[in-house]
Amino acid sequence: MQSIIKSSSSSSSSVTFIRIRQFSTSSTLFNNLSNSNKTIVSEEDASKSAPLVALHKRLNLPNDYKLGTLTRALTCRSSRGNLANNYGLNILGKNFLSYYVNEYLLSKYPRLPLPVLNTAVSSYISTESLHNVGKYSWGIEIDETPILNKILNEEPKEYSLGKLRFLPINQIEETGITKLTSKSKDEINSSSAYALGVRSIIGGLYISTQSEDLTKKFIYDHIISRKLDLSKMFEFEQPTRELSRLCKREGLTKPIAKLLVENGRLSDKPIYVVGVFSGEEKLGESYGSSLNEAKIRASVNALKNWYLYKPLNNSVPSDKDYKPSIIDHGIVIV
Amino acid sequence: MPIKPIPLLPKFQNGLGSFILQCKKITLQVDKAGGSSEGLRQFLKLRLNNYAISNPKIEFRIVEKHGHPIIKGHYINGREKAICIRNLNVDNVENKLNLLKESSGEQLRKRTNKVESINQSIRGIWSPLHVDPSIRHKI
Repeated sequence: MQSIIKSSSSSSSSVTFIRIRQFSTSSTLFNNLSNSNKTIVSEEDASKSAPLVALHKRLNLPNDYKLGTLTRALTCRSSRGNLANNYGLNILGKNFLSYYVNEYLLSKYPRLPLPVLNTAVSSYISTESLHNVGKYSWGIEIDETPILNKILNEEPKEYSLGKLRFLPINQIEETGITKLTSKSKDEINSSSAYALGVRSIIGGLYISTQSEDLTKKFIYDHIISRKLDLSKMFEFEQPTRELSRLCKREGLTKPIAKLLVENGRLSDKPIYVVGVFSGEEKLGESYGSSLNEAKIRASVNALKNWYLYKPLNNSVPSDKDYKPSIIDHGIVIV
Repeated sequence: MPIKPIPLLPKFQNGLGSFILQCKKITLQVDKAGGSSEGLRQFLKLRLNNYAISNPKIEFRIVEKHGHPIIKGHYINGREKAICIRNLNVDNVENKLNLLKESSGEQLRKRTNKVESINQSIRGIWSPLHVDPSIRHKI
């Protein structure tokens, strides 16, 4: 026998979900195809789900964020049952995420080359990345318990509202059993479902609070606050050549590599420290076990110093006191 | 393409930007009649309600089962921590619950370094080659 206690003094009110309803009729985001005649969970029912209330509190969501919206954000389109799904919230959240992450990276590193910028953006908001956020940072659980077990455990039907619901791809292949039915297009793997959930929670935050500032803060706190070392994301093919082209474009003197220090030239483990200079100015410096290696490393260092330039004024266009910083010429064409 | 991007995934820094409590669920396993469950039974009767209200980020689940009472914490990283609380009084039960609540769910291990960080040292690694040549050690 199990009994379940609600994890908080529920501020349960019998207010049904009015705001989203209005939004769904007025906006194309909630298209009629996916959500017409779907049931929307009432606050009273939703507050009976302990995992849902706990998740709401764990993410420090504002009180305006109704539990019903959170349930909806966790319900994927492919899930069984007749609950309203997160199709529209997902699109909204995706747009918010890509806007704020792009804006943040472009303002912080105005000289970032386009391929690296795109990779960095997808590092923050790719399906895999958001799956990690949902699973290992927010601790969202998947509703995996078979219906029979739920009945045997006497689990209230509201309990699983706080879990992620979707139609999983059945990956278990048993020998001798051939699946005749073709794969349903609604089947998704768990990482896509987590990503849907995370994006929808962000979309739901905007719908609930109608505040771009709060949504932006939430994205900065949970998505952008993770550490991504951009200097490890570069791979140069011809760094020395690229550096000399860059110097030519920027009107600097031709870069020259100079040996700064060396040790053990005649031994089998020599160390050379090489600096790349343009006139009197040192552009970059690095080490290597041969002169050529040290020179290439120094050029890479100089290029990274250029591309990863961070302006002191770090405001983004959505800030109130935004001041435009530099606009870069773009990547060097070799 | 002269520059190839190398995809990386960002690392979590819990507490930077947002803090997420790592304990998401606590299961309290209690015996209805057993003597060793006396403290936990009193806790359930007198204090659990307030305790759950003051910790809304955690889901509490009560399981009735024969045997010694066990409290089990479920963590975001997927691990579980179980503590047997047989013959403990109410206060000690609450202490053990606090212990589960505040734990990160990671396996306890010996920390060998005084500082653990995912960031590079700001001063950089000391290099003998960058010491002033006049005071550098000569072989």
